[in-house]
Amino acid sequence: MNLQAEEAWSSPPEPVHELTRRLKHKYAARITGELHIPQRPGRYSPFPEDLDPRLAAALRARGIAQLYSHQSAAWTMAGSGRHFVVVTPTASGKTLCYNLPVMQAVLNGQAKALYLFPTKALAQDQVAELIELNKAGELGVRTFTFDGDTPGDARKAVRTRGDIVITNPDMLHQGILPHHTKWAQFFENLQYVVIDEMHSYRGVFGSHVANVLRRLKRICRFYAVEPRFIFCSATIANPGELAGRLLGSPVQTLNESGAPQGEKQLLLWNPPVINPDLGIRASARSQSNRVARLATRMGLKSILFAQSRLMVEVLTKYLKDVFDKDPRRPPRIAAYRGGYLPTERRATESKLRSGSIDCVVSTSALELGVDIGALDVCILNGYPGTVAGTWQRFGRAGRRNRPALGVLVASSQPLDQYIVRNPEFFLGASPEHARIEPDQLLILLEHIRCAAFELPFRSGEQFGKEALEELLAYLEGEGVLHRESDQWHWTADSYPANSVSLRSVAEGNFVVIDTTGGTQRVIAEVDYTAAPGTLYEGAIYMIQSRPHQVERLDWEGRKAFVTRTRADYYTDAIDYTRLKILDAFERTSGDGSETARGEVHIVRRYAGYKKIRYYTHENVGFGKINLPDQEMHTTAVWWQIPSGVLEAAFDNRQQALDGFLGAAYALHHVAALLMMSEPRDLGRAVGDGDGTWFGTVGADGRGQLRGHDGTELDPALQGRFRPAVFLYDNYPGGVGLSAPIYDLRDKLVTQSKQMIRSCECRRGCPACVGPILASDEAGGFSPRESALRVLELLENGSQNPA
Amino acid sequence: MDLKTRLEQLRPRNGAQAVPMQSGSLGARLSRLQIRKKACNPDCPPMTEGELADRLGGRLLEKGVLLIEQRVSLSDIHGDFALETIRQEPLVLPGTQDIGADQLLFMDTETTGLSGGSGTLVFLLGVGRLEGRELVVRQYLLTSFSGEAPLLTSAGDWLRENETLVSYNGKSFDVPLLATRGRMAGVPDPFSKMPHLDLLHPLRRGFRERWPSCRLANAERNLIGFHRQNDLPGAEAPAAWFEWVRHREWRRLSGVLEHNRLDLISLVALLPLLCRAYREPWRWEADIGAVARSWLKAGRPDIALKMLERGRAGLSHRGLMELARLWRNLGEWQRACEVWWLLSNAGNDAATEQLAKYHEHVIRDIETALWLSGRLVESEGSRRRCRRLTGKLSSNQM
Repeated sequence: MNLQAEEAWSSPPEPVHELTRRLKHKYAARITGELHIPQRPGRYSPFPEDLDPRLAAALRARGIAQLYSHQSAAWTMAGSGRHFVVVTPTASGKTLCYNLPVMQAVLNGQAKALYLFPTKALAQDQVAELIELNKAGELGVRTFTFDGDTPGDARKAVRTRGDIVITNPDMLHQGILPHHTKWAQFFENLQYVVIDEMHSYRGVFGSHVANVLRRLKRICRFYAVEPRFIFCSATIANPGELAGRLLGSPVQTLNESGAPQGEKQLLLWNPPVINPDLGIRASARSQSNRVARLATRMGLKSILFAQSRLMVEVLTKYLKDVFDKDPRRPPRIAAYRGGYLPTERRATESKLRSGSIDCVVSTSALELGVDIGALDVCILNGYPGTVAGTWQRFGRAGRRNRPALGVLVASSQPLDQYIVRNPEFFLGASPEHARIEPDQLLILLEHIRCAAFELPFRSGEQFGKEALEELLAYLEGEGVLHRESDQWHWTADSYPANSVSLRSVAEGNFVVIDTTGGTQRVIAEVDYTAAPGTLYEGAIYMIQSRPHQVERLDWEGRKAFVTRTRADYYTDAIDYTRLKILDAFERTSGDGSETARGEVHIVRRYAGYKKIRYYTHENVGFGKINLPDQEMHTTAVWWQIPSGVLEAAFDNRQQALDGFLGAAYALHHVAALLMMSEPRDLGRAVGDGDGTWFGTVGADGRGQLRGHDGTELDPALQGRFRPAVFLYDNYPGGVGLSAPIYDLRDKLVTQSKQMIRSCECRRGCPACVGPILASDEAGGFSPRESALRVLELLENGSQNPA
Repeated sequence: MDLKTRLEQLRPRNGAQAVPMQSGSLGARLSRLQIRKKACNPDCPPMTEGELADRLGGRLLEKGVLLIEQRVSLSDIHGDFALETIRQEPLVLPGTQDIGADQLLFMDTETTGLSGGSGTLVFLLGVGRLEGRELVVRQYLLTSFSGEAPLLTSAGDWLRENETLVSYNGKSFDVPLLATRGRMAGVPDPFSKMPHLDLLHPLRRGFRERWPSCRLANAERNLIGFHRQNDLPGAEAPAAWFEWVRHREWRRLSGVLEHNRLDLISLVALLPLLCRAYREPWRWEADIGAVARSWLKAGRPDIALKMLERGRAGLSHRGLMELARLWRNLGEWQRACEVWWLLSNAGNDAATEQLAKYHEHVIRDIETALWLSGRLVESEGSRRRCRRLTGKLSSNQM
C-alpha cells in the first residue's frame, strides 16, 4: 500500500485506453452501454494516538505512514467494543481494519483471535500478510493456519501457542468446536472473531455458517468469554443485515472507503444478430474470445470469467489454440476453476502474481480475494446473474490504481439480454440482498445435533427460532439424545459434525482418477451435485483443456476412472426434472387459474448426453447415461390452469404445452431478476403436479410429454391434462426463496408478459421464451403467442385469494 | 404440518440415510413412549442404582457412580504366565528407568464412542495397582450423567504420588479423553500430569512387521498365550451403557466390566513380557532390527549392537544396514564392509553406495570406488559421483 501521491495517469497513453478506444471504434454497434468511473483520490487519517508504538513502527517499516479513513473508523469502532462490518471494494486495505485492533489486543494482553475465511487459499494469503507485518515490527505475534492440511503433530502447537488462528467455517465446524476442550486455553482468551469475505456466506452455505456461529457463541459462553466480531464484505445491498443474521446480534456498518481508486471503464457488449428471423445472435463465447485475444496481443493481462466449468475449458482451449501452440514455451493461457487440485491452483495463482500468465480463464472461484496481482482487463462471458457478482468480478481488474477495462458480454439468455438492452438498469442498480435462512429446519436440526455433542443442552436455552425443546425431544426419540433432569446429553456412538457438510447436503466428493498408462493418479475432485452431470461414462472431462474420457464411474465409491484421449468434441448432459406436489401451504385462485406455494418432491434424471464438435458446435452424437435418479424435497410456487379453461384457450394440447414451457422459461428468468438471486438457485419445471408426466423441450424445439420413466407420451391421449408451471427453491428443504416469489406472483406474471411483448423477435427467441427452430418460424406456429396466452390466463387467476 | 412430518418430507431420499420412523405425529409418538414406561411399572419397576450395585457386586459411591473393587491373586495364571512374573523381572524398556512394580497404576477406560470429542463420555474407568500378593482392581462406573464429576474426583483421590500410568493406547486416547471430561465437568484432571508408559508404542515398534495388527487382543494371544472367551467386543460397550441409561437394562454392563477387568489384568501380564522381548527379541519373534533401533535411539548402542550380532540371521536388509552403520561408527570397518558386501551383492543400492564412499574416502581405492559407483542405479547423485571419481582417477594417473 503505497500512499505516495499517485496522480492522474497522464502520458504515455495507457495500453488499456488504447484497447478501449479500438473496441469502441471497431464495434460501436455491439456496445450498448458504458460507464466511466473516474479516478478517486484517497482519504487519509493519521495513526490513532492509542496505537501501540510497536505496531506503528511495524506499519512504517512496511511503508505505511497513515491510515485510510475507513481503517481509522474501524479502529474507533473496535475500541468501542461493538460488532461491526466493513464494506469496501477490493484492494482497499480492508485487512488492516481488523489486523490492527487484533494485533493491538494481542500485544496488550494475552488476547487470542480467530479468523474465518471461506477457503483455505484465502487463509494462506492472510498468514503471509500477518507474518510480514509481524516480522517488520518484531512483534512476536504468533499466527497459524488450522485446516485440513495442518499436520497432526503441529496441531497441538496451534491450539496452545497460536495468538491468531486462521481457519475456515468447515474446520471450525468439524475440527474445532467438537474438540473445544483441547482449545480451552484459546477460547478462554478469545477476544476477536474476524469473518472476512462475508458476502460468500449466503444461501445454503450462509445458513449453515450462521448455525456454526451459534455453536461458537455457545462454546464461548461455556468459557465465559464474549468475543467481538468483525466482518468484512464485498459490496452487497444489506451487509449490516446479513452480518446481524449470521451473528444473531446487531452489527454496525462501515461502508465509506477511503482508499484511492483507479479509473475504470465498463462496456456492455451484445453479440451481433446473425439470424434476425430467429433472433439468433453470435455466441457470447466468440465475442469474449475476440476481446481476450485482442487484449493478449496488446500485452495486457486479462481475466476471463465463464459461467460453468465446461465453458472455462472450452474457452481455454480456444485461446490456447492461438497462444500456446508451441509446447516448448511456457503457457500464456491458464484455466482456473473448482475441482482442480490445490497444488495446481496454487501454481496458477503464483504464475499470475509473477505475471508469467497473460490470460486466465476462470469460474467464480477467482471472484474471492485470492491474491493474483494486478490485471488490466476483465471479460465476463455472460452475465453472472447478480449485480454484486458482476462488480466483484470487475473488481479483479485495476488493482493498485491502474486504469482498467471491464467488458460484460451478454449471452442469449433473457437475463443477459435484459441487462444489455436496458443498460441503465444494471448501471444504476443496487447490488443484491444476500439471504440466509438459518432456521431452515433440516439445517437447524443438524446443527442442534452437533451442538448437543459439544455441550449438553439445558432447558431454557435458545438455539434458533424453532421451539428448541420440541427439536430436542425429536432427537431423543431418534435415540441420539437423552434427557436427565434439565439437560439433554449426547448418547450416540458417532461424531455428528462429520456427517454434516456446510457446502451442500449430499456428502462425498468424487475423485477423478487418471488411469492412462496403467498407473492411477488423482487429477481432480468433483462435488456430489456436479458429478452426475459431468462424470457419466462416456463424458469428456477436461483439465486445462486436456480432454479425458470417463471410462468407468464407481457411484458408490465416488470415483471416476478416466484416460487421456484425443477428441474433437466435448460432451454436455441432458437432464429431466419430474415433480410432485406433496402439500400446499397457501393458495389463491380465480376464474382462469390457481397459484399455490408448498412442498414438492423432485426427481432429476440424467438421461443422456450430446457430443458437440469444437468450433462448429454441431451435434455429432448422443450417448445414454445410466445413473440413479437424484431426489429432493423442497418448496415451490406453482401456477395451474383448469382443463376446461385451457381447452377453450388452445387449439390443441401440444400448443398449450409449448405455451407452458415458454412461460416457464420467462417466469424463471424474471423471478431470478426480481429475487436478485442467481438463476441456478431456482429451478423450473412443467408437469401435471402428481408426477405422472412432465414436459421437456425436445430436439425439434417443441414440447414433449414424458411419463415417469422418461418415455414420450402423446399429449392428446392423456386422460386428464392440467399442466402446471413450477418454480422451486433449488436446495433440499428450500432456503426461503419460495415465499417471496409467492408474494411477488402478480408482478412476476405481469413482468414476464411484458418481457415477451417487448422482445424484438417475431415468434420467440432465446431472450424471451427460449430458442425456437426455423421450421416453426416457417410453419406459422408461434411459441411466443402461446406463452403469452398462458401468462394471460395466469394473470386472471391471481385476483381472488381463496 | 407438525415438526416430524415436516422433517420427514425434507429428508433427501438418495445418498443420505433416512432414519426409520414410526408413523403418527410427534406428540402421539412421545405419548406412546410414556405409556410404555407406565405400563411397565407394576411388573418391573425400573432398577435403581443401588440394585445395580448389588447385581454387579459393587457399592454406590455417590449419586451417579458405582465402585466395584476386586482383588486378584498374583499367583493366578493368565494365559501361559502367572501374574507375579511382573515382580520377578526388571521392568526396563528403551528410554525408561527400571520402575518398581509397586509404583505402577494400570489404567483402561470404556467410552461411549471411539471418535473422541466433547460428546464422547468415559462411562467406566478401571484402575489397578499391586498391593502385596494381590492386584487391586477398582472400576468406577457411571450410572447417570450427573455422576461424571464425582467419578473423576474419587478416582483421582485414589492415585498416589510418583505413580506411573500403564495403559494401552492411553496417551492418544484415554488420557486426552479424561482431560476433556475434566474440563466439561469442571474438575481437575490428575492423569495428564502423570508419567505414562503406553505399552502400545513399544509393542507396535517391535511387532508391527510381524503381526497383522497390534490390537491388545493380538498381543494377548501372541505374547501371553491368553485367548478370550465370550468376551464382549469393545465396539458393543457404548450400546451396553446406552441400554442402561435409556431402559435401565443392565445385563450387558457386567460383560463390559469383565472386559475392562481383563484388559487391566492383561496389562499386568504384558509389561514384563514386553520387557523380555526387548531384551531377547529373537526368542519372542520380535523385529530385531526395530528393537535394536529403539535401543540405539535411547542412547544404548551397546545393547543394539549385541542384539544385531546375535540375531543377524533373522535381520532384514534394513536391520543389516543398521548393524553395518553401528560397526562403522565404532570404527570396525572390516565388519561393516563384510555386511555391506553381502547386501551389495544382493542388489542393495544403499550398501553399494556405502562401499563406494568407504573405498573413495577411507582407503582411497578410487578404481574400486568407481566400479562400485557404476553399479548404482542411475541418478543425479550417482552420475555426479562417477564424474568426480573419473576426475580423481585421471588426475592420479597424471
